[in-house]
Amino acid sequence: MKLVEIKKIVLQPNVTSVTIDNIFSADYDDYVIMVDYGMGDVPNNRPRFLDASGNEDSGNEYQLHQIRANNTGQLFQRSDTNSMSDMFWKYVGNHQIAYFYRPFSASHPSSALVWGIQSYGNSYTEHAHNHDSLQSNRGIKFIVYNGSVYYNTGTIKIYGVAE
Amino acid sequence: MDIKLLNTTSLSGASSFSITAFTDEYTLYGFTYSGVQGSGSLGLRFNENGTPASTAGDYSEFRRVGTEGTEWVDNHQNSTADYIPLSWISMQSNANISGFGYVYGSQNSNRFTTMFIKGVQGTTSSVYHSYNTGRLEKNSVVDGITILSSTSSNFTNGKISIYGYK
Repeated sequence: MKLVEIKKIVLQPNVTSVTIDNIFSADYDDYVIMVDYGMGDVPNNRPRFLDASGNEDSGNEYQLHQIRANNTGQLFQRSDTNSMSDMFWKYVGNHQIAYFYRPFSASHPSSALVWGIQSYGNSYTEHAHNHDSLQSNRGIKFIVYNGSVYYNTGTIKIYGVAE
Repeated sequence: MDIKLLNTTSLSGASSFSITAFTDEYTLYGFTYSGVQGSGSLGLRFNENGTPASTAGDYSEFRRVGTEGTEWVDNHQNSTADYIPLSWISMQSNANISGFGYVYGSQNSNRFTTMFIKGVQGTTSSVYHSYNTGRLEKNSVVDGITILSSTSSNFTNGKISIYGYK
C-alpha cells in the first residue's frame, strides 16, 4: 500500500478556520488525513466538506458514531448535525488519523473511519462518520464553532491511497 | 513491515467474485474495500483449492454495530452460517460500504482460518459503524476469498484489494 502526499499544512497562530481545497479528485478513490499535535489549545473543531464548486456544505447531513474510552470507562457520542462533529479532537497533544472513503464520488455518500489519541481527557476515540449526500466533495474546511478559539499549532497532512 | 499489493478486483457486473491470492509466501493477509454498492447482504467465504466453502455450518460470525442513534447492537451465528457478513444492513445502490480487514491462519492446515474487519456503511440517511469477525470451522488451507451478494444480485460498484504482510 502506498500513500501519496497531496498536501501538508503547518498551522499558524490564531487562525479561525482552515480551508483545504482541491485535495479530493478522480486521481484517488480513498484518502488518509493525519492530524498531529492537536491543532489548538481549546477543544473546538468541526470539519465540513467543500462541494464540487468549493462551497462549504453546512447542511444537516453529517452522521457520527463515536466511542471514547478513558480510565473511567467508555462514552458514546452520536449525532446527526451540520458538521463532522469531533472528527478530530482539537487540543495540544492530540493525534488522529482518518480514512476517507469515496469523498469525490458523486454516486456515493462520503464515509470515514477515525482513530485518535487525546491528550485532553487522557482518552482514546474511535469513530465512523457519514456525509449522507450523493455529491462530489473536493475539499474540507476546519471551523471552530466559537470564533474566539483559534487553530494555532500542529500539522494536517492529506494523502491519496495509491494501491 | 513490507505490505505487498497482491490483487485488486472491481466489484461490478457479477454477484460474486472469487479471488485467489493466499500462498505460503505470507502468513498474514489484509484487505481493504470501498464504495461497495448493490443489493443483498455483503458476504465473504473462504476458498479451499479455489472453491468457496459454502455449506451451512461452515462458519461462525459475530458483529457489532453502532449508528448515529444507537450505541451498539450485536448479532452472531455460532457454527451455523454459510458465509461471514461484512456489513450490518443490505447493500444499496446509493450507499457506501467501506473498511479494511485481516485474515489469520490461512496457510495452516491444522487451524481454523479467522478474520476481522472494521467497517463503515454510509447511506443517504445514516452511518453504520461496525466490527465483524468470523472463522471457517475447518482445519484446512485457504487460498483465497469469495465476495458475494446473499441474494445473488449483481454488484454495481466498489473494489477490494488484498495485501500480503511480512
